[in-house]
Amino acid sequence: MFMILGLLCVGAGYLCLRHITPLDMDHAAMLPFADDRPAARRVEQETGRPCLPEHLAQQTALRA
Amino acid sequence: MNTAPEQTVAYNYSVVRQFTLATLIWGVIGMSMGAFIAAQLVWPQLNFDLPWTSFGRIRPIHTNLVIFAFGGCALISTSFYIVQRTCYARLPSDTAANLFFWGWQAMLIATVISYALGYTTTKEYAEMEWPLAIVLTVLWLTYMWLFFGTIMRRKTSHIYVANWFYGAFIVVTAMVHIVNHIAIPVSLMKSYPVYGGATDAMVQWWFGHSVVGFILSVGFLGMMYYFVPKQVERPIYSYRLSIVHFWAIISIYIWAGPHHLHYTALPDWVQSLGMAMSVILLAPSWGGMINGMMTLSGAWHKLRSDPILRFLVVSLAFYGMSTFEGPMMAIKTVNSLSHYTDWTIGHVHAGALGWVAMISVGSLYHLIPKLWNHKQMYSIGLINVHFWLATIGTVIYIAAMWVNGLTQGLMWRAINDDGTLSYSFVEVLQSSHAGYIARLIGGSFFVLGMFIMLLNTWLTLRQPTEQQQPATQRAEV
Repeated sequence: MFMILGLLCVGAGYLCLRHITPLDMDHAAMLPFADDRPAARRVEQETGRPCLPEHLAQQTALRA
Repeated sequence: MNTAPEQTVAYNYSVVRQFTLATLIWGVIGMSMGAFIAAQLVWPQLNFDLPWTSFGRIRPIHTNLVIFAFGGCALISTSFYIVQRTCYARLPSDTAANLFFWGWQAMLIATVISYALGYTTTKEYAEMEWPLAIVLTVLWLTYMWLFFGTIMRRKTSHIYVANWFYGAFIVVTAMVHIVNHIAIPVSLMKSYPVYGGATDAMVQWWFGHSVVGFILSVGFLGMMYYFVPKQVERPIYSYRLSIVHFWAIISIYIWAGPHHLHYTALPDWVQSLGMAMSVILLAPSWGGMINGMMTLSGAWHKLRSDPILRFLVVSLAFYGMSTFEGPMMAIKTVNSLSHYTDWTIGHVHAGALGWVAMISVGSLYHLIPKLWNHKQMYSIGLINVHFWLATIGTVIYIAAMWVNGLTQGLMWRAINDDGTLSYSFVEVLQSSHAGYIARLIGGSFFVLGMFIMLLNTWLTLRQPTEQQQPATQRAEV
């Protein structure tokens, strides 16, 4: 049973990575800051990556 | 990806605050119990010749309090905070959350009393007798509903990776607790497991190592994936690696239990399989550790001025160290030297003090001012003092146990030319005494740090809040 569960985990991991785009991963990584605007602004300034929700939406629209 | 901008959500922070304070109080009590039993090993007179103050009864009180009371409350508190904030959703029921908090505390108190009175299944970390095990199951299912209910109500399309780790911790803990506690009650406070012999031992250590793996590792990795990026103000180094880390660690950790039963009646192939899986476990463990550490890329200078970040980073260093040491100790030839010695206790505390307690402490120092509307903790100086006490205490503790463990292992296996043992058990015990004193000193440093944290928290809470309307009730997202 555990062998099947282990294989299912490997399969699930593969599917996760296959179905999430690099842009989605970039946005997901910013989720801890999305509800903390001052922190999000500082992260944007220090890393140059969009972090504020409206900037993330802009980036998505541009990529589309 | 929907990041739900500009919404206002009223989070339930009162349960987070309750569990945060409970974490600190149980931390002080549980770790003080640890220091007390460390003192009993130095001065056996401290057993007082009373059954309820004996080492055998206080030791499970210590382990259960630090794992399920301190660690459990820290995980519950941070999981409720993170799941609400990263899903932009409130917990599904305030009443259930409140009942869960008080139920959890009542269960812990009942557990402590029952152990002091000598009621025990004798299974490590699962000593609670069947009525308490049932109560714990009901409480855990409530927790599961509160956590996953919040995820179901989320306003974001993606579930942040920290919640995956917390989710796995909650699901697997429920599974192993229920399976390990299946027993036939013979009276109100006595039951016998349905498993027999080696099967019972295997089920117990499948549970035991899953406590280490899914509560003390996977759960706290969830904490790491939120609080390290938040404190350093950088996104996690590689989100892709965090996904690989998650699936790899949950598929491997469940297999590692047999390494607790090397050279026993357990079939040899099961022991070897447990050893192999434990060694493989090094890869995902270090993947996660490196992902956390590398999040500081370009921001290492913040370590100079931020003691909270120091707690988080040093905890990752200890995590890396103990997840290297663990697989090495799982190798059968190494285990033949280390097993049953103080080396194992040193290894456990490298993880428990260095990783679990320090990541919790760092996360709570980040969390407490936010929960009570303060800019920062009352005293940064006291956080610094706590950091050094915790770090020095942990190093003294584990170094003492390494020395003791190697000494004990080597003395136990030493034989004379005629095949008789070179040393008696008492001679080995006498040689361990200096290490026990050093362990007591290291452990006391750590407990002192926890008292300082409690004081700093109390002083922080006494300060006037920054806003009249507490942000704990309404948070802009």
